[in-house]
Amino acid sequence: MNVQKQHTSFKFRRSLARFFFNQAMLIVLLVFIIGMSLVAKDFLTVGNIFNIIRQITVHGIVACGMTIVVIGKGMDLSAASILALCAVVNVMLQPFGYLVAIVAAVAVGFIAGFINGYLIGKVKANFIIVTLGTSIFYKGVALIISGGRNLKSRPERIFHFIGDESLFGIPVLAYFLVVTMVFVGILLHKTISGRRLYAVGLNDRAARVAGINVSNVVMWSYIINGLIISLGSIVLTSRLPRIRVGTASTYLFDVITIVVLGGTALSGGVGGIYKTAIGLFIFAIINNGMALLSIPFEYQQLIKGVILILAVLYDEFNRRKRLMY
Amino acid sequence: MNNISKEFPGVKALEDVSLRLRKGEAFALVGENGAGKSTLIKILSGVYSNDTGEVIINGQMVNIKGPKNAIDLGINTIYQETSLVQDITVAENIFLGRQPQTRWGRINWKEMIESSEKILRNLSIPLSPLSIVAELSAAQQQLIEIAKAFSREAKIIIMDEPTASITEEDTENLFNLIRRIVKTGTSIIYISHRIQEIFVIADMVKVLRDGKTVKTMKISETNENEIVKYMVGRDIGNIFGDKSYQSKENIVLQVQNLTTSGMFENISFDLKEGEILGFSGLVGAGRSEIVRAIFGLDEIEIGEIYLYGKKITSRKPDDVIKMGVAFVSEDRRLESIIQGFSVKANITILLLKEVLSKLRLIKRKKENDLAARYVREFDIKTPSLEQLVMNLSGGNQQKVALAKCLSTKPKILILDEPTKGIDVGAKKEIHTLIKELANRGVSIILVSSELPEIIGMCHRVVVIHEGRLMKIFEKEEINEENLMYAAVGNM
Repeated sequence: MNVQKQHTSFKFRRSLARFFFNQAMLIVLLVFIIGMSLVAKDFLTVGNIFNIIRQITVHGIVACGMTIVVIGKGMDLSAASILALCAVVNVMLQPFGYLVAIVAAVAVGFIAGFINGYLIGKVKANFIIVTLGTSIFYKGVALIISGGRNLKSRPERIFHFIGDESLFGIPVLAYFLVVTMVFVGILLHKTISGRRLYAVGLNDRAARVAGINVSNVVMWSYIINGLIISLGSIVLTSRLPRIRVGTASTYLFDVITIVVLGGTALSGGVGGIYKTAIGLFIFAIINNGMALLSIPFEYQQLIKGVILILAVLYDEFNRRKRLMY
Repeated sequence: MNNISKEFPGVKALEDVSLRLRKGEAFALVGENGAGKSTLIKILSGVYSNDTGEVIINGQMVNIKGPKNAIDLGINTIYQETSLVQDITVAENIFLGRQPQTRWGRINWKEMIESSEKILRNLSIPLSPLSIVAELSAAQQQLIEIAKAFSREAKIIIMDEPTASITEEDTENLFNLIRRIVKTGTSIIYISHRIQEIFVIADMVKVLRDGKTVKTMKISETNENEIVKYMVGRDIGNIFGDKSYQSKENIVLQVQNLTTSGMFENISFDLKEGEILGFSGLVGAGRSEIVRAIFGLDEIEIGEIYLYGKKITSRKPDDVIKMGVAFVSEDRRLESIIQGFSVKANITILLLKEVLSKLRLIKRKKENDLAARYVREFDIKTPSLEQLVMNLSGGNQQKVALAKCLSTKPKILILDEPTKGIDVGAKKEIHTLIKELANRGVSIILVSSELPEIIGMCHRVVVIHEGRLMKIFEKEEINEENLMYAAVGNM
């Protein structure tokens, strides 16, 4: 009787512990929301929430692509450079009509993703070195074709509509973010390709034995990443009146922070869009909170660095926890 | 160890198990997979913490905080997978992390090599401290691991299935080493699925089943049959059953002059419909490499493979699978299943096309039903479909691997050591399954290092010696003597 009781309370404690472990970042997010709304009275206003959404849409979209690549046990250090290159091409072709500009940006995203994917998936070169190299290369191309100038963006109304306006009371940007997340979520969790990507991320040898064409899966993960980044570039150029190559450069650091913070494992095969969404909102609140509390830029940098390190520690902690079970 | 209990989500892995180990005693731990042996030693070696119970060493209650702490307390564990650093010398491995230093803080190579030499000599291990570990055989590496543990003044050395992947001769060397170590007062906990060995080496034996102690006995007061009976809790009868086989002559797979330099040479054989063709030979003879090459995992330099008279040109596993061939690798940790996937995801990975909706999306319910069907059919013991495969016992992991491979309804099944490291009960289930498949007309290639398995199961046996095909034995010629002679290259 007593033993039985002890046993149930033990079981209860364990399932509670597991809940906290699995949902740790959701809890962190809720704590941040409550904390911020207490500290900054403007935080929970409709205006500020829309403001946050505008600030994080591009981050969120690019993070979706990064999530795919990281689940496949890779990483794309050239993400910001692809974003810059697509944005520059988009802006420079806007005088020829928005369709031409958008199609060209998507094509550039595809090609950039293909180059990464081919070198990593088919040639089997190391992903860090490849994307580090292409990062410099794409940025160089973007600088050359833009001449390093600050380009004027958005001559057409459609870009203003995407960047500034609302539909049914919600910023148009939010729809882009949600649609991208839903699309990537379905791709990861509901399709054969998604399942194969997880298999490759977890164990590429076993995936190969199970008849999965590992190099194709890896290559396509980078191509889709490139396409998603090009979508991000369309949103970016719609939001800002002027674009230069440097505009995109901070995104790499932020996006990696978001993905890792959410709990998608750097060791591959674990994670998903739900996690990245939570990571994105935590990141957004910290960013917005620092602005509301008028923390100086230098200190913001410092805090961001600490957050990435904490996120990596969290990733390592998760990895060990998984091994224990 | 007193009254140790440990629970995992959904599974009670250990319940009130006690273990009393005397100084200088060799203690064997046996039981089917999932009986709790591994959990028990993982608690002792600090990988897991126990939920209840206590560990007492030399009269002192200890709290093992982690693997490092266990080693400091004198408990060393030797796992099946080597923990040696492959690219450095034996001496460096023995002194890893505690290298003798000179006054200036540099590694004192002279002292390290001399000490290593002394350790190896004392244990009569005929290896040089300057050999590179990667160049040693698996068996030799094992001896080095034991020497390393011994040199750290281990009070207890735990060995998890040390003989699972080494030859009989190496086993004899290992046993001699264990005898020498026990004489110095170090105690050994020895886990094995090979019951015969226990009688050679152990003083005491404890049988575990379903996380509980069934019986602890002096080895001199028991026998093989009794132990097996306690292990499975039932009489398992004739291990292999009869070899019913209607001889069919259709050749389904034809291999001609297969050669890859350094691996195998001039291998030719036929596989007939509904036949179990054994691949025998010593570990490292090239058996695995041949079947892996057929499946498209390894390269072939020369030679041809015909499936139903049609030449295979593709060298990709996915194409070979589509042609009706399935392969279960011997490496459960890295190849045959995806350890980080759930039971469900592992089983359905080749069958996802069948659970798609009209929009080509995976239907959760359909997938669950399909996986549940295979879990029932193969009697896979798992708390849920979502359980990660890495948390299952070896026998159940192997059943998941088989379920996955058989989900495509293959005509040819290649099994590489399908019962390695699996307990008696699961072994028998897998043997029965292989026979049933053969009776239904599936052709099977069975690579195995266990002669009784080869002799009990196979209709014909190919023996490989150093990458060459020695002979194909027909039914009546298959016996231990013939196979052993061929395996060591004597014809």
